Order: sequence, then structure tokens, then C-alpha cells
Amino acid sequence: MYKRALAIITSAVMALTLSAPVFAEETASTDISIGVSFGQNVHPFFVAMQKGIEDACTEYGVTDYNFLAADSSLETQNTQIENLVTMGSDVILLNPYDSEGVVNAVKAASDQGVGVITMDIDCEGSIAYLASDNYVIGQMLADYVIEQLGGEGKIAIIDGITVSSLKDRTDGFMDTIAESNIEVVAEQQTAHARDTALSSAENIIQANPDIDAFVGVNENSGMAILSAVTSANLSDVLITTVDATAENMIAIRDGKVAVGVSQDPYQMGYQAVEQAIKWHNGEEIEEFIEIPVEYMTSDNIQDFIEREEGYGVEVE
Amino acid sequence: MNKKKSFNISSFRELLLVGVVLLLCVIWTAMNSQFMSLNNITNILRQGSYTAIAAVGMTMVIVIGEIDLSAGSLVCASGLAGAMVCKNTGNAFLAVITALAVGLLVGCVNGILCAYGKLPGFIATLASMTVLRGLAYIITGGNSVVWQSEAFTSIGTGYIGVIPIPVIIMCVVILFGYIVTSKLKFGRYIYAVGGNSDASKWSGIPVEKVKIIVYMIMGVLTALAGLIITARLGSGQPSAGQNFEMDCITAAVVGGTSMSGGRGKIFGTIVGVLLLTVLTNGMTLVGINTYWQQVLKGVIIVISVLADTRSKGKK
Repeated sequence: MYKRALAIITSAVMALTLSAPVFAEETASTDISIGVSFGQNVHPFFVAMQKGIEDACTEYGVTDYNFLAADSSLETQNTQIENLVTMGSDVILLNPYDSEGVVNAVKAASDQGVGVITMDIDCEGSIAYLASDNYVIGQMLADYVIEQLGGEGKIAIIDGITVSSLKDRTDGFMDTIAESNIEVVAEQQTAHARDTALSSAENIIQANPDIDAFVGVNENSGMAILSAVTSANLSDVLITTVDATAENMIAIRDGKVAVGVSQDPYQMGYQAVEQAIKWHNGEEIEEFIEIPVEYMTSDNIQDFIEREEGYGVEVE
Repeated sequence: MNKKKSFNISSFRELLLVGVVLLLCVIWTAMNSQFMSLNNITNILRQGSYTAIAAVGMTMVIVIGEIDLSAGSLVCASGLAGAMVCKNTGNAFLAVITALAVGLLVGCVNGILCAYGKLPGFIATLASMTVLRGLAYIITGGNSVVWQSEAFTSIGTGYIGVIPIPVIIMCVVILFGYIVTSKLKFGRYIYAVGGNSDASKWSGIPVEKVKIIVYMIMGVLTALAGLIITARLGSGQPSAGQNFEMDCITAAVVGGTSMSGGRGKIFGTIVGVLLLTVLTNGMTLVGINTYWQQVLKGVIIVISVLADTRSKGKK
């Protein structure tokens, strides 16, 4: 059954690959097959990344590309990498769900001449890696909180260690905040899901209604904290969040959330395609490309809203 | 005579559970005085409300000897349906009706697959679990759905007097569940089907219809829970409700519902929900790490079910 399905898929893909050059000649451009595997696909972050890849492919005339999402399953992602190799991909753009858990599949792909470019999370064996430094994001959040609170006070945080991006942010924040006189009175690692994060935030506020700041390290935690703080009628709590998603940007614009750190997943995807094409044409590529991160506050939020709207994100 | 005996066992068990909940309350209060504040009690009831609502349905499903794994995905799908209707029409009433209709439909399909398709409930609802989750990603494209209506938001965050609206909905659902299982002829059918499906059939109970109706009740109650969760979060999330079905099953089992069917009470399940909610709330209040919370939760589940089987063995 599995083999038959694979055979059908493979022949379908072969038929597609054979016809691809015809399309390619029409758009007068790139003869490359790009396969994409996301570790998870439930977050606006990856939606934006996919949009960046699609737009870059359109821009450079790449017609042969496939998107797969492993939906937070390492087993699925390994299978997907193998399948993308079988399908004849020249380059795989990979967003590993776990950096250790895909190493063998990535090595097998490289052995067959397929270049693997990683996005957001790196793994061994990649030819190039595009990311924002999540540790720096955590540091930036901490710096902002320290500055706003004048170096002392009580804060709570909802963070997480389930994926390395969250873990790095958490580490960056905690390492930086430890150097100040600010006391972290409560921490729950439930940032991976908004419903659990909301319950945690409510419970933390019950125990510590006197906190000066409540730190979220992603959209889930930031928005959950906002809901909890709003329903508890606390006014003077400084809230932080991460990512330029529609909900985050509206909350910052309306003054409900003080600060967010913006990443640019669209550029991550877009530039990954550019690197893929360069590599395929035998040009030199950079091993690491840093996609910059920036503060979003009510002063500059309009720029971010315009940037994201330009990427096709619906804000409100 | 048999009936009397089983009554004694289950009421002993429920008393034991109530005792555990009270003990936990004492411990948490000793460790953090905030625990017994009116605010926190409201908080606990609100956090338990949506699990309790779906767990009432889950109890009935387990009592007929089946299971519903699609509850988490349905929470997500019904909540999204409501959020999308609310976003596009601004009409909260229409949004609620749509969400409940989605729940009724999914419950009906689950029930038909199970009753007439002769699929085990485990398989039928496993299928709808993945189908609904997939559809949620496809329809939303991974983005959250935000609405403007205050009325819709109030389902999750509003109050009538000092009582949160979700808590009021929960009380109505508990009353409904109690009446259906304990006062109506249909309730006796549920226990009969779960106790011995073939014997029920020979004695003239419409087993298929009972199964379908129970799954439909489960569907509507899950959709209700989905509405509350969505309204609480303030946006429809394609990832909402993950593992929600496990919370409901856990509450029912901790509350004394037998996984082999035929035995279980709404009251026990509600105490089960209360136990789990008080546990999580208290552990967060006193600052226990998230992952230790999971470990302790698992231990409590095993202990409470062990206590159950041992108390049954003694009798």
C-alpha cells in the first residue's frame, strides 16, 4: 500500500518535473526544484515564511516547489525529507522541528547531492542557515523591562523550553534579568499553547497581583497575558510579546502591550530561496544570514503594520 | 440488591474524592493565602467550567462503552466556526447557533459511524479528530480569527452579577446531565447499553439510537466548551483544544467512570474536574514548575484510580 502510494507520487512528480522545464522556458528562468518542510504550521510565523518563499519563487521564476508541514512531529519530518529527496528536489528548505532529530535524514539528503538550507532553527549538515538570534530576542525583552522599571521591581514570565527558539529566548531573558535587581516572582513554561498559557497567567496574577511587568516570549504567551491582565483589571502592568503578527501589532498600537520584538519570517523565506538558487547555479553562498530583529512600540508600530500588509498579512 | 451495592461503592468513592479536593484546598491555603480568596475561587470555577461541560458529555459516552477522541479538535472547529461567523456578520447569536450546529453535526456523524457503521468509537472519533484539525488549518491558513462583537467575547469573560457566565453555563449543563442520567428513562438506557449491549437490544432498547443521541449530546456540549474557550482567548485558534479530550477523559475516570462502560456518574466527573483544576491552580500559585505539575498530575490520576479498584476489590 505504502509502496504503491509512493510509486504513484513519484511518477506524478516525475511527470511534473519533466513538464517543469517547459514552464521554466516560458518565464525564462530557473530550472530548480525546491522542497520545503516546516516543523510546525499552526503559527502566523510560518505562514509568513511560506509567503516569502512563494513570492521569491514567483519573482525568480521557480515553478517547481512543494510545501510540506510536519505538524510538530519529528517522525513525520524525517519521512518528509526522505520523500522530498525521492521527489527529485535539488534543494530542501528545512525548518527543523528539532535540530538533533533530523540530522540523519539531512545527511542522507546531502549524500545524494541535495542541498539543505535551514530556516529559523539550524541542524548539522546544512549548507546555509537563515535565522534571527532568539537569544538576542530574549536579551532585548529583558533590556526593555530593566530600562522601563528602572532596574528594580517584581515581574512574572510565561516562557517555554519545548522548541529551541523558545528556549533560547527564555535563556536570553533570564541571563540578562539576573544581572539586575529585578525579581522574577513567578515563571510557568506554558508558552507553547495559548489556552494553557491563559490559565497560567490568571493563576500567576492571583498569587502576585503586585507585579510590575508580565513578560510573554511569543504571541501565545503575550496575548494570553493580555487577556488575563485585562480581566483582572490590572492597569499598570507592562506586557511584552514577540513577533509582528496581526494580533500583537494591534495590541501594541492600541497601547495594551508595551513592546514587542519583531522578527521577519517573510525575509527568512525569501532569502532562503535566493540562497537556494545561488547554490544550485554553483555560486558561493553565505553559511549564516542573520535576519534582523527590532523593537516594536506604539511609536513605530505603523511601519510594521505597513510592512506586514505589504507581505499580504491582513491586519484587522 | 445489586443496585444498592453499587450505589454504596460509588458514593464512598465520591466522598473520598471530595475529601482529597478539600485536603488539597487546605494545603494550598496553608502555602498561599491567596488561594481561598473570592477572586481565586471564581478563577478556579471559570477554568474548570469548559472541561466540566464537555466532561458531562464524555461521561455519557464512556458509560455507553465508547470514547470520543475528537473533542479537542471539535473545540477548535466549533470555536473557529463561531469566530468566523461573528467576524463576518457581527451577530453573536448567529455565531453561537453555527458553532452548536457544527457540534451537533459532528456528534451525529460520530454516532452514525459508531452505531450503524459498527466502527469502534475509538476509530470513528480518531478519524474525525484528524479531519477536523486538518480542516481548521486549511480554512484559517494557520492564522487566528479575530472578531469585534463584545457580546461574543462575554461568553468567555462576562459576568452575571458576580458569577462568570461560563460558570452559569456549566451549572445548567451539570443539571441537564444529572436529569438525563438519573431521572429519565433514557438514562437507564445509557447504563444498560454500556453494561451489556446485546442484552439491551434483546430487551427492546434502541441501542443504535441511544448511541447516536449520546454522541450528539457530546457534540453540542463540546461545541459549547469550544465557544467558551474561544471567547476566553479572544480569537479563534487553529491550534486550540489540543489534548482537551484527554482532560475530559481523565476527569471522568478520576471521578469513577469505568472505561469498560456501564458505570459512572455526572457528580463524580464534576468532582474529578474540580480536583484537576484545583491541582493545577494551586501548583501554579505556589510556583511549582510546569513539568513537575505534569508529573504530579499523572501520579494523582494513578493513585485515585488505584484507590477505586482497591475499594471495589474489598467489597
